[in-house]
Amino acid sequence: MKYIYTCFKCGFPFALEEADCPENCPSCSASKDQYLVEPWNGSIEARRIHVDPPDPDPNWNKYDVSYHHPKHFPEKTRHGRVRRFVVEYDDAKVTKDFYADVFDWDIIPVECDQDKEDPLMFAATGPGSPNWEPKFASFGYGFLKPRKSDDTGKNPRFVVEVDNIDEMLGKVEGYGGKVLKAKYEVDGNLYAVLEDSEGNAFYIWQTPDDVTFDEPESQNFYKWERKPM
Amino acid sequence: MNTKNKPYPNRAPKKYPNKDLHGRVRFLNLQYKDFKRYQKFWVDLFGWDMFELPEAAGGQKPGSSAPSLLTATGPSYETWEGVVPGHMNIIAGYAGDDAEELEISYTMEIHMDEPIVKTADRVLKYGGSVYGEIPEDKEGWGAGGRFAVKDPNGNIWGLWRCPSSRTWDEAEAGWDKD
Repeated sequence: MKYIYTCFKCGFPFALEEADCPENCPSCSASKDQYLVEPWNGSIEARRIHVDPPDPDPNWNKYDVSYHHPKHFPEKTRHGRVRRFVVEYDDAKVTKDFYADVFDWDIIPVECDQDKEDPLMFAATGPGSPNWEPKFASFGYGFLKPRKSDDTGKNPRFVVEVDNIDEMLGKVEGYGGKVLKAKYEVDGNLYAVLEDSEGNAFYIWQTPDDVTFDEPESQNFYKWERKPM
Repeated sequence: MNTKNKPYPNRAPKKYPNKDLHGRVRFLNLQYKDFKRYQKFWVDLFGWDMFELPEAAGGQKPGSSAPSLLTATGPSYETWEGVVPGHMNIIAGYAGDDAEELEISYTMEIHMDEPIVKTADRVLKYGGSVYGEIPEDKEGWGAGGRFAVKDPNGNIWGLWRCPSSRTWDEAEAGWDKD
């Protein structure tokens, strides 16, 4: 028989046949005795059991990886956020057709590369705002980038936003990382390329001076209405 | 990147279909060789917050020295999904004792109402390849809705079909209503 299980520890609901019910919550690892159970009634949206989620703990040890509500990220900074993916390409048309036709992405060259044969391209992977920022949480937009433009040869595949590039360049080696490419400018934006302590290559991008922190992507709300807009 | 609240560069992104997250890039996937070293780098320098992925969701036993980690890189709910738009969270795992090169990939959602092999067929048709095996198609949180592909340039993507337990109340399931 099928049931809806709602975890009392984290509030996560899921519907399964009784025989397939896991011993631990798929969301937080709580044991099965923490589940609240109700019969399947045709739709998980129509469930009657709802559990309030936990709140962030301001005293949480930042190295403790057991289940907890993610920390409360500070206001007026986007430092550390993974903002874009990067896909290196060899053939612009083949790559654009692949992502547009298989995964329904929307792809355009960035402003300064409109007339180039192998442009840097911006990729929307879901609904977005007119300034090409994702409109909803938990998914990313990215760049399609000609491989020949990657002079590190390390295929960095993501962009992390930082408050100050110069500060990061001074710190990264102390944590076992490397500077693969010093600070440089593209179309008015400041970037550098780093490698983490494990060998993962990535870009850092400095928050531009014109960011007001009023933008949806600059917020740190915790009690947003959950229903989609 | 454009940060001004104006069309970029000359038009807004296209409209996407309702209640369909096909193609959305949902998580960055990273690998590490030394968990404590990796954690110190990203937590201390970039402020990330990490949580050990449950065994029932593909993680290790609680307290493992090589855990699989869900990571918030910005404001996130108790589900470790983002609260606000514009950033991606991360799934990271141990690369293995013999790993020489680390793999960076992403998890992308695919159609919830199609057999996974249909997406695999389209990947092949457009010059990509399947990376590893296509599992037996099965509804749920397990391996039955996941497989990996490479694009025509060799970039790796983990594809994931969300189980039908999605309520569409989740913030990450938003779609244009107009």
